[in-house]
Amino acid sequence: MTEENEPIDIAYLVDAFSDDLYRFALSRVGSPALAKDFVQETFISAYQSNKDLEEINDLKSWLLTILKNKTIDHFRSVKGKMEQQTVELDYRTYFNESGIWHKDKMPSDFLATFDREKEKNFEDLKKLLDFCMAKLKDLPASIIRMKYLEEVSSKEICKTFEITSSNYWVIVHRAKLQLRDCLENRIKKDQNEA
Amino acid sequence: MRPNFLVRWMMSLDKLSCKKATLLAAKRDYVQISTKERFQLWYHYRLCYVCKIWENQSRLLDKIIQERIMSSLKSERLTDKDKERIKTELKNIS
Repeated sequence: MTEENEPIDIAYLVDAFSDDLYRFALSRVGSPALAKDFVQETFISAYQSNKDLEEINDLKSWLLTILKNKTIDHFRSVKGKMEQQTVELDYRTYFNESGIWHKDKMPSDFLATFDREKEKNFEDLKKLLDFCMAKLKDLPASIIRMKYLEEVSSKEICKTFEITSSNYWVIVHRAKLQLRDCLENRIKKDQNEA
Repeated sequence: MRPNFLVRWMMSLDKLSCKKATLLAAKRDYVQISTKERFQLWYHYRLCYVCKIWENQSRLLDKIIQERIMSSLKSERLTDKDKERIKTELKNIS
């Protein structure tokens, strides 16, 4: 922490904690520009709270709490818009009326050849994943990002987005259908071009 | 003659469509599904290799997404310019 006589001011907080706050914000919202805005707003709120910084035991978790509340407010304010978008992605893209896979959307064993030379391919897959994640709508993308963070429970995700647990796994299911399909298409396209 | 209870029960199990089977697999990741549902899913995978492929790829997808997200987060930092901008912003409001 700080030297004995160095006063804790807000500039010190920026140097000490802004990277941690940025990573937290980025893990929630995905967009670097939006994450930077959240970090800045957090410091402004912290400054305007007029708290005596010397009296706060854990400055980092204090700042993280401010940031967390900001991201939750953000999700709630855009949620109405996001829900509309999710409904649009219908199961009908993947399954017919009887719930059977459409011929062109059936998962094929496209990864069978992929697995053989593991390490490099795994790295390639990660790159393709970025492309496919960017195609997801806001709500499923945010939920997927939080789902795979080790420290976040599914209960917390449902609470953050104000959704029921059955809504939660339906959203995850749809997002995975979309991601898997996108990966398969990309890989097949790359193989055809090569 | 009506089929006996066991046969009727066995017949009732094969009611999963691919859509329901994959959704059930997603549900199973969050809550404990019933024995009947577990059997239905197992039975469906025996009959439908496409859903079996889906199941395997879905696991792989979990692994890739998790690694991608964790590794990207470890290396992310704000630039010095970003930090200076925040400090300037703070000075402006004070």
